[in-house]
Amino acid sequence: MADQEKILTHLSVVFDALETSLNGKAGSALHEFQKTSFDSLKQFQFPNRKHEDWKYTIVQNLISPEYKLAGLNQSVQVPIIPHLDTYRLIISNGRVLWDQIDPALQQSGIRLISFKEMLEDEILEGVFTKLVGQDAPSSNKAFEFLNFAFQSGGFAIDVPKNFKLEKPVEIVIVHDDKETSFSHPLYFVHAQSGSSISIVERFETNINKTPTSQSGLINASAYFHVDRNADVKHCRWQNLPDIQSLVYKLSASQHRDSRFESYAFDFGGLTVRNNIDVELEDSNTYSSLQAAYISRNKQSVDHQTRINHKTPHCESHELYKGIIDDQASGAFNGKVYVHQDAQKTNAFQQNDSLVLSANARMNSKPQLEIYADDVKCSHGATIGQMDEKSLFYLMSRGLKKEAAEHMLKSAFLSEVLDTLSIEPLRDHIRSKMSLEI
Amino acid sequence: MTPLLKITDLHVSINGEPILKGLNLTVSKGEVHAIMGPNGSGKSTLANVLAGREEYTVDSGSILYNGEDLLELDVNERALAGIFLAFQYPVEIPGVSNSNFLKSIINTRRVHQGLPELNALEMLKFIQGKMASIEMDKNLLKRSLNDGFSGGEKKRNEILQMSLLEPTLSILDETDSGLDIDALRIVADGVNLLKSEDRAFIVVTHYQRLLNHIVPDFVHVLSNGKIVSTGDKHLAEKLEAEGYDWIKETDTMTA
Repeated sequence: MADQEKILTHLSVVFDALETSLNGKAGSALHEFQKTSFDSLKQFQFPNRKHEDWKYTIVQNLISPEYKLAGLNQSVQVPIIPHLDTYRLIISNGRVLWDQIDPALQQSGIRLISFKEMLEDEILEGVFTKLVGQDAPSSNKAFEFLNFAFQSGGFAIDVPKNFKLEKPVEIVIVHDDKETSFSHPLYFVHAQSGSSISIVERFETNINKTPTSQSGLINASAYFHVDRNADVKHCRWQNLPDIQSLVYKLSASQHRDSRFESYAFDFGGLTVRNNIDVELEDSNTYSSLQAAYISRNKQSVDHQTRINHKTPHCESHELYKGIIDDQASGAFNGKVYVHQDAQKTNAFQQNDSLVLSANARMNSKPQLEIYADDVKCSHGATIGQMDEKSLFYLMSRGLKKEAAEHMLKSAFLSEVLDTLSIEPLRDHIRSKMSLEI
Repeated sequence: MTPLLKITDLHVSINGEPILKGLNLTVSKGEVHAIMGPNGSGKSTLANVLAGREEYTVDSGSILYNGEDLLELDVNERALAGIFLAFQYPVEIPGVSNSNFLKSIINTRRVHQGLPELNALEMLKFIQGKMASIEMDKNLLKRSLNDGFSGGEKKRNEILQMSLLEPTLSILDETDSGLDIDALRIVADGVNLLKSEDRAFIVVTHYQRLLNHIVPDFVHVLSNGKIVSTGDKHLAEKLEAEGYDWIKETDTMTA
């Protein structure tokens, strides 16, 4: 508890500094939002190992460094992905760089506004507040409130009714403050009925700047309102350095006949924690959550997913596959709730991990809670080593052991990667993956 | 001349259970040897030990390949030295594309031989040419390695790899099992196309029918971990007609 107090005292100092910097903007809707959120953070407090959902991620690693809020940096240059045709947008140290947004995105037909403007829009604010308030594990809330309290440059995308955005929106997230610092990327996608949008998200280093040696925390939040018959695709990839940690909150609310697909590729980062909550508000929806993860050295990666089937005829799929090596650890805690009214639910959940060293650990807990009687649900988990027979087969054709192992590891993760439909992105992620295994 | 393969008094066990109990076999270039014998006699063990499978323990005896100690070589080094095992049960590996796998093994071999790697176009021509010669469906290139292949397709894929790698010593471990007559002919054609004075084959089989298509120079009967009888192709015909019982009797009598 003393730790909590110390951390909150430190955060209060950082929060005061933020308020001082508001320069007459105090009292705005955003400022009120920040204040309320900071109060909520103090009330909820950070979780500790006694929380069942936080057994495998050491919260201290995430919160004990004395972070300052990462400073504004406009001069950011990020590597591009060859042949990937998108509308690009950069979030630098938690703030959207408005003057570097692809102008075509503003004219594409969607509405792109700042988070501050979003809070002043009655309709959007209402939808957002509902999304934030939706049922989610309370032990994860602290990081969400931390994000809101230190919110300095989030944005919202409103996709009009029946509008289909042809190219993906590419969100490049950079955290390059030299000092021990945190940043809080935040965005909200409001996909109106019949619309479709695809989001590609990646975490990059600033190629203008030498990498920092100080620890950093990226505490990101993304919210998706998927209205009737809307189609939202989301893919994020990160290969963060070993000094940066990531907490990633994803919330989606799906309405009748909608589709939501999300991919996560976690290849780096010291402590990585994903909290995903999908709420199925109406029937005939399709949801897919997939992830491939690689955890090495002293890294840890933790996936917490929660899909809430409240209505009939919904279908959800989860496939999480990863490789844990060295002294790294991984965790998967997937919850699928099928409520009494959710008849004819199809829900499938699978977590497979390769654990390649005696000191590596994987904890997998796939869970189904079913209160309806006419459903098709399955869940499973495997934790294993490299298949000796496959290795022998490949080597018997002349491949060196390392080459054969590489081929098998890549094949293992490819089951997730191969289903990613954006080819240049898939190729890029594959080449990055190849370097990490 | 040094024989290509010389196995002397080979004793092999798995989990402490002896399987091969003093096996002798000499194979020279240009020859085709058939190894026949009842279930559990050690045929597959012999094939796997030659390829370097680690589950088997060589307790004593020697295997010389081109006059050098084969047991000193790793699995991949044996392959690069020209040994090829066509598996009885080829492993399915989802996620490894068949075409990428074939490209890697071809270029690995070429680099080992000091040859330049083939570029994408040359590679495709080379692979498709060989596929055509064994009447193999080109679509199998796009699939994952052996994943969901039928029994015949898997065996054909083994023969394809053999044709592409052009090994000096090919070991076919019951490649004929589970094959229909057409597939059997294709497997045999693959071997016959590769046959030359510089190469040798060890064909492990239960049945004589494959030997109608691949004519062996020697037929060995393996029983209880030893070669108990050696003859020419007529020995295979005798086995087909009379079964293995007479071998077992001989074996008991000599024991």
